[in-house]
Amino acid sequence: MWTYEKRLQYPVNITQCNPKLAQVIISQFGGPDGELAASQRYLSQRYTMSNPKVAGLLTDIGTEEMAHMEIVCAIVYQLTKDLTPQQIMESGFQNYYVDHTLGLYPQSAGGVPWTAAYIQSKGDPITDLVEDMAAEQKARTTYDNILRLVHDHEVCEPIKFLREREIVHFQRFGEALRMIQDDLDSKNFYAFNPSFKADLDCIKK
Amino acid sequence: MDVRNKEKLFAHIQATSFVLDELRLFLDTHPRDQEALEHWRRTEKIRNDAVKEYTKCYGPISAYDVDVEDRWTWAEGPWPWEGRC
Repeated sequence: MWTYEKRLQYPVNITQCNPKLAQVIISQFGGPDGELAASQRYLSQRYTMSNPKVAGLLTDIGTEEMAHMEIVCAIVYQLTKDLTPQQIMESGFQNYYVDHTLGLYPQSAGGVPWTAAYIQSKGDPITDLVEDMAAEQKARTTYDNILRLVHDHEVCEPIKFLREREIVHFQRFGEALRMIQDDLDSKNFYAFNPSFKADLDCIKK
Repeated sequence: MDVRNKEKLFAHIQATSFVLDELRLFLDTHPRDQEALEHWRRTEKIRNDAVKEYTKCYGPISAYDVDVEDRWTWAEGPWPWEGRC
């Protein structure tokens, strides 16, 4: 169950439209390392996470990612609000506009629609947590790339906030991986999958 | 309506909520950290008081806190993504 709060986790108040920048930032909505992918990755993985504390962490981070998706969408929405046809043509926004007008659609900066192929839910705690740590770093790099292109303080501040959250999440997932490993044989973390205990008959233990 | 007080109170809710967001993740992996637990208890109380006062004076942040009188007000804007909210 989720409930909605009428507030953004970090405020977005953009007064200067910039459709060119919106087309780049939208990648963190529906792109390969975006917030929609992040939320679906963690919220899908949690069911078979063997350690209940780590399942709780996946729930809480997955929930925060939905709030980040809302922040990214608010940035894109405000950067493209009330555009004129002339502004649309001059900024190269026409290819997006023709399919979506000014609606928010989950796609990458390159125009590729969001796909579940961006994420994995493998049913193995070590595999999933290593994927999650990589995902946080990929998102952090994407925010670094965006920050090199942004000069508007009103856009910069929420993007900097989102970038910092990737670093905190990476740290928490690292701790979660250690918690999983503490429950396993330190000489062979891979002797079995704690979420699926059927023997691997052909591998010598 | 006192706009300055409204904005101040809202900023206070935003800040304390974020402290709780951060502590929640930290406590998920450090459930016995006494300092963090104390920080949680303190901040949660401050946030609850601020949310209560804000809801009473300026309307609900959560749909569970809608004050029902002659009409349903929850779905009235402005919405958070519109900015200046």
